[in-house]
Amino acid sequence: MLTYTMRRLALAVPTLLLISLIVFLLLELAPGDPMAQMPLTIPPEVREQMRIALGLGEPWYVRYVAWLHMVFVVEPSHMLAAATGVDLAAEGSRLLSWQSRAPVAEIIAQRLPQTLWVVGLSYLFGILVAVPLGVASARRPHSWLDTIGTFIAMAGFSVPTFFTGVLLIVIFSVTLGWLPSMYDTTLEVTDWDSLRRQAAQLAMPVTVLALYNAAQISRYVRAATLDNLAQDYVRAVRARGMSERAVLYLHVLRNAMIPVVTVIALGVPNIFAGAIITEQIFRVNGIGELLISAIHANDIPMVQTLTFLFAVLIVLFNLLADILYGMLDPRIRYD
Amino acid sequence: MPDRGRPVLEVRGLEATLTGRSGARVQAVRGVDFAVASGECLGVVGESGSGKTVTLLALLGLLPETAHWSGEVRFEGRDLLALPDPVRRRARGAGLGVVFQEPLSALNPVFSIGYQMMEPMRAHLGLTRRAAAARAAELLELVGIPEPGARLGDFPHQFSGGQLQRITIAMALACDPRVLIADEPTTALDVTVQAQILALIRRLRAELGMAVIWVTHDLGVVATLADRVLVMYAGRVIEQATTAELLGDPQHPYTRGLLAAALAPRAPRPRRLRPIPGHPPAVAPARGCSFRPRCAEALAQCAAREPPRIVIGPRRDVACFWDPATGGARDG
Ligand SMILES: Nc1ncnc2c1ncn2[C@@H]1O[C@H](COP(=O)(O)OP(=O)(O)OP(=O)(O)O)[C@@H](O)[C@H]1O
Ligand SMILES: [Mg+2]
Repeated sequence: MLTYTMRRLALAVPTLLLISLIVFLLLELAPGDPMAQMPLTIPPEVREQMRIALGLGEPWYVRYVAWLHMVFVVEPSHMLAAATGVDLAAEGSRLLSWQSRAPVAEIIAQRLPQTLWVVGLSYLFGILVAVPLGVASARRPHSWLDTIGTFIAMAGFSVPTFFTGVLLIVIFSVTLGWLPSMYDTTLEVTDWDSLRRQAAQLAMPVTVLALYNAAQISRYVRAATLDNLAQDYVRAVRARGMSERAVLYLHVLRNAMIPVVTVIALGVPNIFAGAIITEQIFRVNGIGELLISAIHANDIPMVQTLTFLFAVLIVLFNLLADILYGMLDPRIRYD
Repeated sequence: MPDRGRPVLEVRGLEATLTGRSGARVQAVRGVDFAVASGECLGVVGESGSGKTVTLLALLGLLPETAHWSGEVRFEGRDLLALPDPVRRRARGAGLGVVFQEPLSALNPVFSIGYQMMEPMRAHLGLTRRAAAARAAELLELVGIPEPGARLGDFPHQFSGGQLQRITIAMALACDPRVLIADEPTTALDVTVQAQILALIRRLRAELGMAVIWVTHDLGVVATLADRVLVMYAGRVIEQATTAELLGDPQHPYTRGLLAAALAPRAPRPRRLRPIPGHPPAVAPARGCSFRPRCAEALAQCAAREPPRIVIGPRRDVACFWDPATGGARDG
């Protein structure tokens, strides 16, 4: 298992390098000028100097290597220094956002917690709803509970998050006035009251994404449970006189978890992508919102780095899914 | 073996209708009655598809939810179906040991065989983990699994087919069942291992008074193990007799055909069932005897109605109008 993991990690390096090159080139080829947002009164010579200062004078491969160096060496060492005080003294200038002139890594570090809260909580709640719902639906197919489950799944699948988001805002913020429609980014949780307000402002974005997640996962749980309930071993466990609870929540669920955990791990990068839209609707200043504003401002280093981060997430969670699969299913041996 | 008084398991009027994948309904069991006493071994024979497995599942209450079934199942004098759920579960789990036909699919692939063996012992016998593990190793030793203690942590896919079959037999014996119900449990075993298992079963019957219901295609096994035999055809018991009577003086043309096929000198696999010409019907014909299309002795009345169970001796009955002694219809 360990050697397998190591081999997969080693393989991930060239994959990520290739992805980074593609991301870099795509944005390189895309039309758009980082100076477009500058006032028109700036004289052309100054404009040209600014371009050179941004490093735009060099050919693309030089800039690609410089970017790699910054992303993989300079920024991590600065992050490490900031976090632990250990200074590796990596040489080289930092990767700066064109928009704000601050290091890209620091901006992302500021924005990430909001996204992690929204995404993490919604995934957690989504799973907590989806697993019992899926199992109960499979236990009694076509019962009222299964019908409700099917309805939630259909709604979660077919109604886009921007619609459910706006609907919730209209109901709970505009009509009822119970919840804030905008995320207060300055709020710091220090006491009970601020915790309550934090929960209130998280409620809607988390609900929207949780519904979306629950819709997908509950279908997988239901299918996997149904599949296992039809297996002969279930009959054998019943014949041995074990309770229905043990049959369902031990024997069947343990088997059903093999595909479900894989799907959950593979779905993590997706919900980061889903969070982009939700963050726009609720004005959560997470990395989704950061990406959108960076795209608008033609902030290429920021867009490159964020896109690359998404790629890293996808590669890592693919690896995680494989490893979990091997851990959950004793019939799989990777070595 | 002599009669040992009250039956430990008694089945009356068992019927089961299954719904296939396509929605077609199959009347797989049509009025089966039998009883086994403590220490007695009942052999069940019949062609593939004759309803042996469905009969066992029905009496255990393990048919799929889409199945319809009725009948009475008395275990140690109690009507299993009338018992409240937890009591029935315990009675079934501890009192009736079941060996299923396909050993690999009867085991949960993601739990070790040790865990799966120990689970009912801990639930029904209240054993501690350690005591259950010791007993599980003992049982594996008994059925001839080498190094049983070391193999408790292994998963089903790490054993051979024959080993799995022996493991499922060991599991069925885990809670000292009053009745062992085994569905073709020795098909994948070689002759010596099979002989060991049969010796073990015989010993447990003698020592613990365990009753045995043994479904098999192998008339050799029936001859060595069973006290009495049920012959099933198209969901019915068509003949029931002691082993000696059945082998010495078969009454039903189907049974006679089975024996003739098994004992035929040129049979490619002696003592195994050789097909009687024709195929067993998937669904019994609407009128008359279900064996009539394949029967060489069919009489006029066989087309008119299904022959009832005719009692022809103490604990001996046959569902056939034809009498081998006279070559004509039975009287009465
Ligand atoms: N789950 C099921 N759904 C529908 N029909 C079934 C199902 N299981 C069995 N049957 C049908 O019931 C009849 C009896 O099958 P059963 O499995 O009891 O035969 P059997 O005597 O055990 O045969 P074998 O010796 O091959 O095990 C067959 O016609 C079979 O097609
Ligand atoms: Mg069978």
